[in-house]
Amino acid sequence: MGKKILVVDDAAFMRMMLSDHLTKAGFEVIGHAENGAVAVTKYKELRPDMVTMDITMPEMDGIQAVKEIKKFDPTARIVMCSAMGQQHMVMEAIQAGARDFIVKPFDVARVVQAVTKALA
Amino acid sequence: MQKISAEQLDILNEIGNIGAGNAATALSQLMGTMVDMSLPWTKLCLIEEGCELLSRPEAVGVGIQIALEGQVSGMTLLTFSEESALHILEAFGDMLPDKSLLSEMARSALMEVGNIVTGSFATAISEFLHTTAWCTPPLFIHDFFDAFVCSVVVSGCQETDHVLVFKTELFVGGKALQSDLAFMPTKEAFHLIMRKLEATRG
Repeated sequence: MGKKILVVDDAAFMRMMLSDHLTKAGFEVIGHAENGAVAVTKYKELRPDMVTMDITMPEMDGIQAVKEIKKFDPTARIVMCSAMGQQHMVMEAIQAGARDFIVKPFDVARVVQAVTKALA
Repeated sequence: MQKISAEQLDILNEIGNIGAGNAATALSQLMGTMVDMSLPWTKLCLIEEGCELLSRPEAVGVGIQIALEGQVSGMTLLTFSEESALHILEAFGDMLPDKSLLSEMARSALMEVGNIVTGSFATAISEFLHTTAWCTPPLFIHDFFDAFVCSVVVSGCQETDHVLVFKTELFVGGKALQSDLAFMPTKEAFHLIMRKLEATRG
């Protein structure tokens, strides 16, 4: 059974693309969340092995969601999904406990590498 | 109206070219097909002219509205004709089973295209100014150009009357698609750009 992953992104298309890449690479996507607040709730409910977390989202952004999830589970494994111009936010997320980051648009090999490394 | 010289306009055009180049690379990766982007012209103008340049009378289009944050803050609007938007969706191929403009997934894909194009231009401007800019979540508009262009441009021009228009051409699957990107900067961002342009006057 593949490792269980929660995919967080406000864009339905990006959730679909990322889930597709991860499923083909042998991971099991057990849930989706469209903002940080939903991500925190789903993390507590589903207890995934790993979370991919978008940064800019409505309601609660990805950085705040990392902080909330780490407060609940300090061992949580989270990889950030960043867009252009968000380097400083990636740094803040890493300081808050995220393990790595991938940059949009997603390169399949890089996604698999980052997720595999973060799960190791 | 803030006047700029031909030389300063060249600088803005060059920034736009960098944005277009980066957008083309990222779009090719997103869509899994070769995408190119050129920039026929760039213009700094007032609200009224900005509305005229972006509008296409009696035509229906798609707008992706994105607010920029950081030091290069403001409102942006990227527009496509309805036909161009549908052609872009076609280029996604099997990735996108439902290519109707009413489908949530198709709209989300176009918003991602908007994120990439707007983010590439915002990054090119912010790198020129040695500062930061990033996109906030996009809004999707599907309506007559006349019904949305002016309202977005006017509401974006709360602090200055100036609009920076990048006329772009996207080449997707061998077809040229017209697209416009308008940036309505905040007062802070506008002054940053003008100061830097003044400083680079030869």
